[in-house]
Amino acid sequence: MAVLYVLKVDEFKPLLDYAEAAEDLSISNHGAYQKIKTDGVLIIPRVATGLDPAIWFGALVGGFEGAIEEFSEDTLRIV
Amino acid sequence: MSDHQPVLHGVHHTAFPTWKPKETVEFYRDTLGLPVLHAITAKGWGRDEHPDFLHFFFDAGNGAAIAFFYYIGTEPLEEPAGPRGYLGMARHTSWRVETEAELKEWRERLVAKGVTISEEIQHEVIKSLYFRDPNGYPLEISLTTRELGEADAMDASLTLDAMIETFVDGDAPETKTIEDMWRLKGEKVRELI
Repeated sequence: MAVLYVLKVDEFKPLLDYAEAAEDLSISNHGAYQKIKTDGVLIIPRVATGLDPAIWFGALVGGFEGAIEEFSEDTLRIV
Repeated sequence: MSDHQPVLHGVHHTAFPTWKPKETVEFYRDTLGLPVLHAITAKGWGRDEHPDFLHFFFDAGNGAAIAFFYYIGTEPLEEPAGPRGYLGMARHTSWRVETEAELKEWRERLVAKGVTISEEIQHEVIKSLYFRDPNGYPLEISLTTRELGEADAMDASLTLDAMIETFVDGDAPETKTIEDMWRLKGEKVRELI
């Protein structure tokens, strides 16, 4: 299981939009945060979110559960 | 002792040493066009061989100034701004503009004056231009793209707690990485929600 917590602010909305559309990710609402969760591997491709690197590389500020297998300019992969 | 919280009203001035007094005046006064506000000239104070000096101020708007000390006859620091790269960029001055049009005007002015500027970078809550003064000091002009709110402050407090617990107060802090901090932050958020 992998979880990503995302503060509900404009700059991270593209992450939430991506997660909402992704079949293998579930998204739930918790006050100031949204929780992106998967029973498998949490994979987010940067280009698909539309985020530029400056914000992309700050996108884990809300914290996560699991282990980061990759966090590159292309891909976030949490297992 | 009172618990009363005193207030601050923004920046009065920040100050930096310069060994390029002419280039500094020309850059801030002429290239950037910041009005000269004040110049102090003083005899050294006799303490620690404190040199004679000038201290001069340029208007950065809204009551804020950027100021320089020119210590006469002293040996310049080789790299007053620090080494190039992220360390040298860390200690910088960022000025505020209020509109996209103002940011565009600065970009056009700096280009017209031959100043090397960065691409505009959209950060979380500001969009910025970066450049350097003749001393190598990093400067930034920023447009706020989103006002900060209570959620930002709450989240920032959790982040700072996670930072201190991970890199200072926790077990073996020297072995810790940003991944450890993000995982601890996740625990804090999970407890909160």
